[in-house]
Amino acid sequence: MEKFKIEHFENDHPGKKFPWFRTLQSSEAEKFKQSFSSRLSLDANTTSENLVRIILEKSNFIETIQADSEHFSISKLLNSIGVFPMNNICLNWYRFDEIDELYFDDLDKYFDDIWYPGPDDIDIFDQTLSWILTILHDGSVKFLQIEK
Amino acid sequence: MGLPISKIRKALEKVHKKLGGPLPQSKPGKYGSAQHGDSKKGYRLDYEKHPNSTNPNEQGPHINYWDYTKGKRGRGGIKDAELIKGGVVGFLGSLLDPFDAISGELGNGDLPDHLRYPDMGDPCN
Repeated sequence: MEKFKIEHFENDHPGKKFPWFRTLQSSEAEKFKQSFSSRLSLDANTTSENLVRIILEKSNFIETIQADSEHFSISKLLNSIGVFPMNNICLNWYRFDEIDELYFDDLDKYFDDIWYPGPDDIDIFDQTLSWILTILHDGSVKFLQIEK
Repeated sequence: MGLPISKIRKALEKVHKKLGGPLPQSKPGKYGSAQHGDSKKGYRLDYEKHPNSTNPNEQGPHINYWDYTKGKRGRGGIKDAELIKGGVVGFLGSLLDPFDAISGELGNGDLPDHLRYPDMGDPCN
């Protein structure tokens, strides 16, 4: 998590600490990369850059939803498509080399303190590895269901 | 072939004005686009239009820019885009950072044909 986001949060929510998060170690992040490559039936040598591109290409736009709109709710969105995330979710900020784990409830509640339009293209998933929600930098939203 | 890189330059100059000047090159965006600055303050070339976006400047190739030095969006943070007018450009990926090409590290005349942007004409003219 970028330090400036934590500072902004603490300025905007006086007396509150930034929600708990944990940055995954590179070995943990690599496992996710390998697991998704396998689940998507990709070559084991698929690069991280290609993996995030393939995820993006395979995902479907959720039309009419914009993550930068005032009324955006990630929990309502996921529930409406039949996804009920686990308590802990992961945010892939880049190419499976910068992943933060945090509570889904915190992401839901403080989404606009965590995702910044412009710089951030994020993939959200949980330990089930059965879905990926991608929030693009312009606020458009894509979803990928991954068959078991 | 014309010099469509001049169209990127025009947009880039506007972005520089809004952000107070050029920023250093950084690692590429997640999907390979040229990017300068960082997550706090920066800009990135985006060849794709975003049909769902309400920002008309994202309805064609554009440069995204942001400045979150003063706060998040709605709290002093800025996020917008500058349309590359009339420019339909091809993806060059990591072959070349067009921002650097523009800033003089590579002059227009130095660009080999296979690295130039195809000029699709300027609908504004």
